[in-house]
Amino acid sequence: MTTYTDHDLACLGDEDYAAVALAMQHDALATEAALDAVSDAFDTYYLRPYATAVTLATGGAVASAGETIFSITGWSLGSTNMPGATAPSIVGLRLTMPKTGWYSYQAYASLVAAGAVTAFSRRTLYARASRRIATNNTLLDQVVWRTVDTNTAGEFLIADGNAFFAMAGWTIDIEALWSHANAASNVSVAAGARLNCYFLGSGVTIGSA
Amino acid sequence: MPTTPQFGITYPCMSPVVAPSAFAAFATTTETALDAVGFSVVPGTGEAYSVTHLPTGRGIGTATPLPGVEATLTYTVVPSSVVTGTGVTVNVATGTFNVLDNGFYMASATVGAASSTLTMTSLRVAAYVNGVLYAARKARGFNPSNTGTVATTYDFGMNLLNTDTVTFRFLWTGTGVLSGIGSSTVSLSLLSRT
Repeated sequence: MTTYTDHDLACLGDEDYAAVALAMQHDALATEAALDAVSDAFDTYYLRPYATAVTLATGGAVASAGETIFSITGWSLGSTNMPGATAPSIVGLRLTMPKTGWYSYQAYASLVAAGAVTAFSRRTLYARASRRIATNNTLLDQVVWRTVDTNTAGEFLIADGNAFFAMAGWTIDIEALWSHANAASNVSVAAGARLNCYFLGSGVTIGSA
Repeated sequence: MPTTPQFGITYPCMSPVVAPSAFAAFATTTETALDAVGFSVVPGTGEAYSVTHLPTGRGIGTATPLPGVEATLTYTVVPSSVVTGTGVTVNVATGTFNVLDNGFYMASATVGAASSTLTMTSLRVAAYVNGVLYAARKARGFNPSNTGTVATTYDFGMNLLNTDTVTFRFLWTGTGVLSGIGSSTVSLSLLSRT
């Protein structure tokens, strides 16, 4: 029995007439092998790495102090499929990247004045991704979202990160920071601040190595 | 008849005679295997469709909300071609997205509000999961009164569970009459299964 096509399917000749059953078994297994490879490629594609973190308590209210930039702290790890992902309380997300390729990240926070609001005073949310080696961080990307307080029960900010490249095995920190210019009273970060980090792609086509 | 271990493709045992039913079983189980990986033309089935179409629901709302009253965006038109069946379904009347797969989703909602004569101090778009605020983006409106449009966009990743429901809500503050939401588009797309 000879085989043909890229998927090694059987081609019976006159001498193979009695081997029909064998040929069908061969084709069944060859078909399954091809489908298995495609299925594995799809699994790799849609089980893409991601990690989330959230704060469970409202942060302490702080004065503007000239729009000092404060770190958002009190993080807890949310849903993730990245092995070894952690959410150190004072950091946010600390990840060991499972794949080489491009990632993106986001931060969300609601900033609430404890008392009076200075009309249209600035509220700013920063998000950043950095590579950690030993105890040192090298900034890979940082974004800023700024708005003003309209005195209508707090402000809600989302900072969308740019894509950054990371190699498998790198330690990456995703952090959120904030500042305000509310002279009239202190401001705090409400419970439910969030961080996301997710894999965009490696640039490899589905089905290729 | 024996079957292959992963996809159950049936083939006959060794024999000098192979019955027609063996060929039928082989063809049928091969087709079932192809369907499982998603090579059929039926939308919403199989891995190929799920991956290439990344299950999404999208809608266009026409609500005209009152100031200070948060309104759920509902959808008058949701073309079936942009709603797939494997990750998300949409109840257009209630504006509810029903999650079918545990996973990490990217939610996006843009609302553009047109004014006739009003003072809009702020506008906010928020995503609620099972009735609880998940995240929101708020922006300054236009003040004093003006004619024109203003829009804000919410886009944020959300980790959701099978059976979660998601609604998108719009809230503006100010005075006057909002002539209507000129356009709102929302989408909820599965990025990664858990």
